[in-house]
Amino acid sequence: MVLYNEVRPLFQKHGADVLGLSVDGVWCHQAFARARNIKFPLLSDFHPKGEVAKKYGAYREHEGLSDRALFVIDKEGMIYWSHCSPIAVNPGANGILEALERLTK
Amino acid sequence: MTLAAPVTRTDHIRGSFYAPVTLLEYGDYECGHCGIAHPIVNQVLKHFGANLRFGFRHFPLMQAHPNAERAAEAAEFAGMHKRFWEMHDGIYLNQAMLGMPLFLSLATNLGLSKEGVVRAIADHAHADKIQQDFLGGVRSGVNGTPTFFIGNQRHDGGFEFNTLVAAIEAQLVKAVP
Repeated sequence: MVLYNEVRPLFQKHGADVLGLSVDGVWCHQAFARARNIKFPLLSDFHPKGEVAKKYGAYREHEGLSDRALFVIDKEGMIYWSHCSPIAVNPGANGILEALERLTK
Repeated sequence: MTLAAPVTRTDHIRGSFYAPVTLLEYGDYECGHCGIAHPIVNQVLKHFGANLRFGFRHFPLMQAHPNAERAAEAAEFAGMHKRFWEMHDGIYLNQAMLGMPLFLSLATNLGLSKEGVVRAIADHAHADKIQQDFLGGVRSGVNGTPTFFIGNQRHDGGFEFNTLVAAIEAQLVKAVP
């Protein structure tokens, strides 16, 4: 999230913006956003827990957490590109940027 | 992940430019983990001697770290006067005191102009170079700080001395069979 907060202007050049989503509650998100100066919305998939993540096939039922998954969604609301990273590996921003470049060229 | 922007003469290099293996760090001067990594990197460099060169590129997380960009400017200003590494070490060794008074006192100690540092910071004199480092890092899959590359591969392991040494030795065997 901290990385995407920094790279966000590059996403915006392609007319895209970032949304973060997790199963944490809004107060938790608020504290995190304040601590890290996160400028984009953090969405709370708290109740019913993981409902949105499940629709994206990105819910880890066993742990009750959302996956470390990225989705680039086009203007029509279709998933153009996605990537699911191992939970311990931050996937970086290069895959997102490459997808946005292909989408908007 | 592969390094998208190869190391060149425009990079800050510690050790011989012709060393067979490169350890490259994308770092932020206000990042605590980078501060922890700093003495370890120096130990690793000492360990490998002429077999390793170290490159440092800026990856300031400006939204989270208000002093990161200013510190990078101070280091680049010193770099213009061939004192990059002295400023780099000075910043990391005094990371708890990061801020203008520190940059000024480090500059004075290095015999550099105080006004020069102030101006470089105020004018974002090296913003292009810092931004170029940052963008190259993003393209190469830098996902936080510090991110290390050994050769042109991202090092996804930790940065403890033994972990770095083992990963570099593996590269060295390939480079110098």
